[in-house]
Amino acid sequence: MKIILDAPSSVPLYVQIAAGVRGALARGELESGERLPAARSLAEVLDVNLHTVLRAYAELRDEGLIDLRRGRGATVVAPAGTGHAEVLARARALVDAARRLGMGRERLFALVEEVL
Amino acid sequence: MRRRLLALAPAALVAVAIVPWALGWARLPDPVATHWAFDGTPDGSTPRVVAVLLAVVPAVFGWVALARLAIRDDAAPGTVAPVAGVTALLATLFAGTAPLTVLANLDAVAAGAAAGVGPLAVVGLIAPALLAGLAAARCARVLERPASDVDARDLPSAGLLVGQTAAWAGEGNARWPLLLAAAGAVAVVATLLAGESGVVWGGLLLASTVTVGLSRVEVVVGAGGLRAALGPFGWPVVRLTREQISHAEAIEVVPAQWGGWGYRGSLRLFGRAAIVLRGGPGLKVSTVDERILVVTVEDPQGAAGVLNDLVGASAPTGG
Repeated sequence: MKIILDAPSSVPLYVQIAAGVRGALARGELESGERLPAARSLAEVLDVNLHTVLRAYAELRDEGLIDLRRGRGATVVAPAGTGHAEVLARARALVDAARRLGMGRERLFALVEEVL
Repeated sequence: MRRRLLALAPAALVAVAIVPWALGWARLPDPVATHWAFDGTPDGSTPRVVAVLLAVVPAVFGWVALARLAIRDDAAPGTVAPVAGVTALLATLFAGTAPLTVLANLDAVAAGAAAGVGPLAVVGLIAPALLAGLAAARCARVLERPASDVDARDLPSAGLLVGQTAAWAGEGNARWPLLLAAAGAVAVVATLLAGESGVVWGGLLLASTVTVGLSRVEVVVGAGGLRAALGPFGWPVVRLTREQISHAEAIEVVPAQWGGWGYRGSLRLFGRAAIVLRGGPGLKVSTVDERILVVTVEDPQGAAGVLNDLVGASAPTGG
């Protein structure tokens, strides 16, 4: 599992960490049943506060993506690829909407750039 | 200086092996007691000459072997220190039997009348051997040539941009340690039921427990460095801080090249450690003071890429 964080970004770290784990899951880097690193280990190597990681894990647990259990740590419960399908569906919807307006490729890309 | 020490110090082993026998010869029975039961009473003997050779021959061999090692100049990193260590350990172990055996048999009428050798004496035999092994290994490290420079362009990179940080988590798994530990557990029960001494089944129990720890290793790397945790309890842990790390690579681990399976070597003593759970892909981390840590994990490329970007070893990408 690989996650990338933007240190100077205005997005809070725990949001980025949760997004990183969701991304790893969507890319298939994580499988259902696999164990995430212990919050303490991740906090140590990321050089962030333990509670930042705990908050990210709690959010993922609330979304039903992982299971937090005493002694077993954080386990992935969602199937690999979760989230990817949703992004793909929305991308298709976006392209459909753009086509209906006769919006060309270049304009659509520029629009997406604006939002990013 | 270390080289000279490695070549000359083992002469002391030969002295330790010969002098007690020479001094005590007239006062020793023949055969002499050379094996003792757990409770300390002698229960085995060999002719005097054999017992002398048992101490002297390994001591001489050890001296010659270490002296030969000491004249080398260009050994591959990590090959000489363990060999020197094991040679010194074995030679000291055998040489050490001389004072022990002579003392126990001194003025005894026959082998059966020799003094008891208790567990404390065994410690006196093993401790110097371990120390000698460690000392030899440390001396021998100077004989190894430094690790070759790696081209930054060949190092894996995660493509991190300026201002970004990243973490990688992965693991290595193996099934054989669990099978081995299960066999060990069966052996523990068997020796318990057979009424064997606590040393036997206690030792088996310890060995089986330690073996379970080799079934899994969890590795996490990031801006804080590297953290490798062994076994189901996540202990012991090997740590390297970001400041200690020079660069990282993904390699193909052949267990034979790293001393076999399990936790091989020691970062502190030999400058090289390898956590080898299985042959195959592994992460190799080099420190700034030229020590090496190898861990068999899945996707070592990902781990190496993140590490190299974070320590600045790979060619930097613009932001």
